[in-house]
Amino acid sequence: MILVNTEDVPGKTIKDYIGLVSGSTVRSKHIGRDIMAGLKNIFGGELRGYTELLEESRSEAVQRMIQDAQEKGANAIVNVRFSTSMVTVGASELYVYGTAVTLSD
Amino acid sequence: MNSLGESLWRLLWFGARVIIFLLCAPIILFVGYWIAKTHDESIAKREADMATRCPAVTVKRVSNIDMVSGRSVMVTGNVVLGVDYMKRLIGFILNIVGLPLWTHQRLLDRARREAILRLQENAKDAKMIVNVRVETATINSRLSGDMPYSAGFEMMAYGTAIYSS
Repeated sequence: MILVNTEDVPGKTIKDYIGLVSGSTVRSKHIGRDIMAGLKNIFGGELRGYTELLEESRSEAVQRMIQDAQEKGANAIVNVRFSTSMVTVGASELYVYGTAVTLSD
Repeated sequence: MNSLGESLWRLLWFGARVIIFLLCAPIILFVGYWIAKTHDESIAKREADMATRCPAVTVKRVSNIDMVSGRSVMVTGNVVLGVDYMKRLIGFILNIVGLPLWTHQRLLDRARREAILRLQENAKDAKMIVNVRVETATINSRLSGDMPYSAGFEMMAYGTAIYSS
């Protein structure tokens, strides 16, 4: 499954546009990350627990989007965009969406 | 008599908290400043290394490289940064008075540069990264209460990396 965030895949032509596919996940932190982040909250710096949390949730959301596209019979997703929003204190939703297409090559 | 003892105790406790705060303030200020400065220097060094190797552009189509013969992959880079407590207090006062919030401005600038650097590091052998976008999100932000704050800010940069094979 090819993923790009341009409107077409360079070097390949799009045969058919299938439609919007998306994946999302809501994740919250656990107590271990919370304590370290609490310390970093005082001194500043990179909150590595949160970075890893968001990276994991991003790859999970992308996996769900790929699964959605595979079920619809696509072999590429173009124009992928991300959106993050906080749903409650300590939890954020990561939403990734794109256009599923079939490539002809 | 009981209430006098109680109010005396409360005054003592308040005084103790003020003293602890005044003792911790320079430590927090210094450590926060040192963390920000070392991060800034590390970013400047890595930007100098990365300048010629893998340009990240925001346009969708590039005319000077051959985009069609290789493969293209979406790559991302993200970072979550936070300000220290004293900078947050200073920012709170700046917000009330209406001055520009240099405390958070520098933080977001560092976060953006770090996210783009991580994007370039994740696509190390690519010829170019096109259609780069940067998204911001707040982490653990409390917008109500007596002192609204955000524990951290996440910057995510993503784009399409074009490889030569």
